[in-house]
Amino acid sequence: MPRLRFNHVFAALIALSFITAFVLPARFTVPGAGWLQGLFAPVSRPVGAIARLALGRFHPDSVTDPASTDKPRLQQSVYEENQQLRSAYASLLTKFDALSKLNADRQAVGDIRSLCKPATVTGTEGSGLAEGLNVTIGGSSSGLMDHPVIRGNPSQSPLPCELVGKVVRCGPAGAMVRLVTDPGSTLSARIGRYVPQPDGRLKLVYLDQIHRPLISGMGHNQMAVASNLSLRDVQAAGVAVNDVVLLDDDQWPGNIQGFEVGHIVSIGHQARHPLLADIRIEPQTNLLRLTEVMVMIH
Amino acid sequence: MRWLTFFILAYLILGFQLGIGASASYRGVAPDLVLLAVIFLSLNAPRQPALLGSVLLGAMQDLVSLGPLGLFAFSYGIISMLVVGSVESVRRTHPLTHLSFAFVGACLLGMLLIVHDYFRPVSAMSHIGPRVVLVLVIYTTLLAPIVIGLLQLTRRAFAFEQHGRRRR
Repeated sequence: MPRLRFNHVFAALIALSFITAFVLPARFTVPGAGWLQGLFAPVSRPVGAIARLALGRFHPDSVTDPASTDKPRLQQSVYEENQQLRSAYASLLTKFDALSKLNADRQAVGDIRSLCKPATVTGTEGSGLAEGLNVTIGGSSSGLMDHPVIRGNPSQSPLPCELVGKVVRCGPAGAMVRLVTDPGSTLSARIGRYVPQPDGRLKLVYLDQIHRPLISGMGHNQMAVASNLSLRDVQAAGVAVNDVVLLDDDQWPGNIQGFEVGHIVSIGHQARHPLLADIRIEPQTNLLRLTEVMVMIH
Repeated sequence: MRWLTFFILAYLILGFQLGIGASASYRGVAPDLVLLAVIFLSLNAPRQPALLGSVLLGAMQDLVSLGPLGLFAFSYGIISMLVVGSVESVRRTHPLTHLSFAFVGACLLGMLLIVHDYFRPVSAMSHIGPRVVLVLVIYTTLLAPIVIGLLQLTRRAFAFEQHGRRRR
């Protein structure tokens, strides 16, 4: 019987790695991962906090106001809009409650705050090339596969939140979230615009001439419209920079439909197909720099 | 090689990689600190622990990244074979050695990532292109003298020399 030598073992390891990486479909290998993320939190969290602190000094995050992108609005105008939004929100909540009682399906239209659980971001994904977050949730993260992840804390702020991504790997020690900006992420959405009304209110108008465009992550905190739309159609539909992109996808739960995915930052023509439009979308903030997210647990 | 020290190194280096990923990224690409640890191991450890340790480091990185299992294990195994094969003809403590091995290793890693992306693309719209690989190579190479230089200071903790490798 031939002796098992180190070279044999090493060759077998390399061959196994090659097969799992290049031959086997990802769905067979991905479930095996997702067990280790949380273990690195004692190192990755303080390192990440220090790195964010250092970066924040030189390159602070900026937030754009989709209702006034050219110049900052007057403070009074922002206060008035906040008041209007609070009123509108209270009104909508009442209507939702009434609808929920009628339908006996509160989760389909109701408030999402009771459905979410805060998760601490312990680091980004390990390769440095894809866009994902490692998160730890109180208790085990097992069973959260494909659950949506949003930004902001609904229990502290009544304002709508922004879509962050989806849990793609989970285990007892943590979970990994694939961001909407990752190249492996796709969803369909609606494009809308906040239009000031004569009474000073802002109204969200949907640009539905472009029907549910497919949005694909592009990396570098960007997404793009993946549907092959001609530049002429895009211009005819009136789509412009700073229009907002809102989730409208049957694959995602009903209570997060309409959540903001990002806003359009540029419209141009594709390098390879000059007649087709290249529409780039960015989230309001750099998703890779989030420190806490909310995972929908129900 | 002391395997406990190796696992402490793996834990720390992966923790750093996960922690600094977003903040230290340039044009969406973070430096590959684990690759630098692989080069450090391959330069200093005896052949068998170096190869095995590199594959283990890659496998651990695979477990905390969004890519398929085995991609980094395979890549680091190949890179480690390359470094181990040529380590006797270089000064392993010299910064230029670290710089050149990091450059070659990052180029090889970039090529493997491009090949993988060609055969098993994550998305039809976005690919790992030469620009991403160029940033990865330059960024990782520039950090190599610092990171591997710091790791060289911890060399005694690994007890590499007990296994008879000649020091240069």
